[in-house]
Amino acid sequence: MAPDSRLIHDKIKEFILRQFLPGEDPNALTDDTALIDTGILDSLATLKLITFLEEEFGIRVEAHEADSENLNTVADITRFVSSKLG
Amino acid sequence: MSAGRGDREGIVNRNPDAGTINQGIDGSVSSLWGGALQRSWVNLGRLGVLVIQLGLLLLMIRAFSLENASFFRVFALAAGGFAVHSLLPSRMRMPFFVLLSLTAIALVFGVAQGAWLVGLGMLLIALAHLPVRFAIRLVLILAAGAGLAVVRSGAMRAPWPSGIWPIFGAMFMFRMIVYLYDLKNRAAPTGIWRSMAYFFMLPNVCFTLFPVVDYKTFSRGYYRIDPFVTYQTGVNWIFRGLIQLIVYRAVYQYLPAEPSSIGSAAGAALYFVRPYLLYLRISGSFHLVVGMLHLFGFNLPRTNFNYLLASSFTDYWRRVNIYWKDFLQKIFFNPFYMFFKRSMSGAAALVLTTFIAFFATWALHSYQWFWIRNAFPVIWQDIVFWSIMGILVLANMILEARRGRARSLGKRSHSLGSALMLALRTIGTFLVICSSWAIWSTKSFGELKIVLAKLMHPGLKDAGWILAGLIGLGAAAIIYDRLEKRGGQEVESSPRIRLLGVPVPLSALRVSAVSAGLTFLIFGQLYFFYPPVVANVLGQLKNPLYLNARDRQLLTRGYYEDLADVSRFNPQLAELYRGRPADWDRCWAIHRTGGFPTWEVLPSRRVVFRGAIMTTNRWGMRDRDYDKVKPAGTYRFALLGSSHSMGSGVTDDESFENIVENRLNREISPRTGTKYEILNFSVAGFGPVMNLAVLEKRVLDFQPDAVIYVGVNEFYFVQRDIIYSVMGSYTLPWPELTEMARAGGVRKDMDFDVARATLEPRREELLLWVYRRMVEWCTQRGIKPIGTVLPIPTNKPKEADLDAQRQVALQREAGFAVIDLLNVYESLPGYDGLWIATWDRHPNAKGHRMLADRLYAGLLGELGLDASGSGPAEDIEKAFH
Repeated sequence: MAPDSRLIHDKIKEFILRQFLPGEDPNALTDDTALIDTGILDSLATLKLITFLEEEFGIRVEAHEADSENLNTVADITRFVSSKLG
Repeated sequence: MSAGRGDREGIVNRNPDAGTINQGIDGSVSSLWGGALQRSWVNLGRLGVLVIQLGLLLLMIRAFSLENASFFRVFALAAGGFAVHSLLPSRMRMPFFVLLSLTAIALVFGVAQGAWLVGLGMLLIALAHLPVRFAIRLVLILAAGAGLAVVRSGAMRAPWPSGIWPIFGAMFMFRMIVYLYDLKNRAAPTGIWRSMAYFFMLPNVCFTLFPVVDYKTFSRGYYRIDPFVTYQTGVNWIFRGLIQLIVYRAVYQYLPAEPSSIGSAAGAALYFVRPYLLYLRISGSFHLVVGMLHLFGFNLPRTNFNYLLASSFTDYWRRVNIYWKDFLQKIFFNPFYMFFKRSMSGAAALVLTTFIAFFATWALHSYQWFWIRNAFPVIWQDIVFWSIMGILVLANMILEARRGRARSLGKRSHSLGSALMLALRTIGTFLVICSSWAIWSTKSFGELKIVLAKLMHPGLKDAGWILAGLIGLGAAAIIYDRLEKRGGQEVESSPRIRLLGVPVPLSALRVSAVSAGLTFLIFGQLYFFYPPVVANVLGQLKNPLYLNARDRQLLTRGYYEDLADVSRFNPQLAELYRGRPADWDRCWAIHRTGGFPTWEVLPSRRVVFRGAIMTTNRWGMRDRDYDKVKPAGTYRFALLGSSHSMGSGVTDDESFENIVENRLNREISPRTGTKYEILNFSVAGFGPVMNLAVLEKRVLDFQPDAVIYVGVNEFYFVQRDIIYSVMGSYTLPWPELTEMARAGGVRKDMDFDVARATLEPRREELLLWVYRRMVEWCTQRGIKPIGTVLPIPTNKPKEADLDAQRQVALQREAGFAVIDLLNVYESLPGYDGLWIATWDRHPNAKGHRMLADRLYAGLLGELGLDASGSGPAEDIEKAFH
């Protein structure tokens, strides 16, 4: 059964904070903080994130989906994962 | 789908000053014309501020003749088009942009050629949209591409003109790959206007090297934010690009490019930095391109952003050409990585994929050259450069993957330690990248060794300069890092002032002030006296036809040698060559001999050479016909020289040799009763050594009374002919010359330029040896040796003048009666009017007339006669003998 959006959101946010923004105030990372456009998620980090999403949520991310349209913000990523699960 | 998709269709108005002009690309929100403009004159004022800036930038382009000749017209079209475009209802904007783009193509190529370009492009776009399976469309496009490649290679003739290839290639070679990828994945909306806008986008017609714009980004970014922010960003980037192009010219002109000209460690350091800084040319033009696209609402990523301040190799890769990086990531990196990762570890997949990406970069650079220049270079320097870059980026990526990279959501506190580390990382990255670029651009390792030898022995002063440069770089890295963190270079965060109630960003004032100032600096010369030093510097910065010392040398060598790779790191020269007809320097009246001299003029030919009719006589001279046996009552000169005295690029009667001959017979013969003949033995590409062979082998049969030896660029020629003898290309009739070169350190396996640098200290000794032998040969046979050196009508620094003066001095020392022609062009304000073409600086008919006047006067002067030729006939006759 697919987890709900809130759970997906929290897991994604927690992963991003832990992996890429250690020590940052969790409240500073909002749902609309641009991750790719600001360089927080570079190509390598994006691949790490995808590996996490595939393993954590059991989804398969295609190469052409790995872009800022789907992965630029926590909200985008949550929507993307939800649509895959949904 | 996602809310991000929603953003794509509407406008996210991030700027409070945008007022009520929220515009939608689909007309769902009120347009500028329909809504805001009627309610607010403020927006008209903001538009006026943009138009003023574009007008000033246009003047600046004109003042400095920036980019190529067609760019000024296309930019003027874009600036005017912008004003109209921004006032149109949103649904009309994309078609209007397409119309402007097609107009630009017609402006540059003409309607007929432009129609071929657009027609071929439309055919490819149509194939991509055929109502059949994607795989079939892909096969059809590949087949069409293969067919076009066959035609491009020259294996088949095409009905369309070859001039369209470089731009056609620039439009389709990469963008079609991206377009098909996005089409297959339905990543962005398509439509006829959007597709045409994507492929024929306005500025592309002026640029063969063009950023690989991503289709999805192109579509998604269209009017995505406040249009005035987009427009001002575009103006800022255009300005930034133009400044970079001016700085590029300074780098090109003033930083040392010739290893043999480097005299100090500081000079050697500048030599290493130069190739990397020359990238300003590409960076500048990419800024122009992306800036111009912003004027039409396309929000595209910033390009080459402060790339000289990269603090790591991955950082460099992210900054330098984000378009290429994104293209590689989308088409190669992500698909391959995800494929490999399913069957191997993440680290192994990363290594493999990185190498594939860099291999693709190398291969695609050659693919790019194929479409642009019909050449597919496979050069060791490319392989070494991309391998080094690949290894460095991979090492950096692995390091980052293990340790992580410092990232931050907001302002970080900056400690002194972190600032110093940033400076050191930036300096280290800069040095390694400079070295890689130096290797990439070098002609040989021998050249690099010469420069390194100089770099390794710095004096105190040089060491100080080098250190100061590095400290300056580190300081710039710290300052710009803080600026970037504050967003100080973004329009949105730029402070504003109000002028007549219109909010004007400070960046607009900066653009206006600097562009107006620079334009005034150039045109001010027409009204005010500038010190010569300042005027000369400005002259070199504003004139794209000014070549630096190395390119002048290459241009001259290009007359005689096949310099196939000349365009790779000589954009200035490549620009000149672009206008040159393909067979410009092929002379069908000259053939190779297999011996020494290596080529000769064929008898009785009438051909077109360098754009002019060239006729040869039955003796294989570019001259009128003469009997072999000198007729009685005739005074005969034998004239020996190179292309300049052969009359390359002027018609038969326009060469200075024929003009002087005519004048002698017209003005002197009536008094002396003697007929005068000047037999022209000159051959294009012949220097003193080859002419010595001609003198000894051919001239005596024609019984000359005097020999006129006309030298040009003598040091280069004497070194060239002797070095090739050491390399075994031929055997010289005078083995002592070859031995002198060997004794000077030239070896058979040396690169030509390294051999030249090695032989540099002995060049005068070699030239004097040849001159003395010429004089000796003449005097032993009772022939009067007259010598002269021709100036080359091109901009030249003092050292070039000094070289020519030394050559004249050597002629004098050897015993020639010297006629000095070196200052023959000095009365002219510039030399542009003396060239047979912008890409070929042989003297034209006017130049030959000036040479003839001076040579004629010199001949009389040498013989002790006044210029009117009014001396007693017997004196004249005696003097010639």
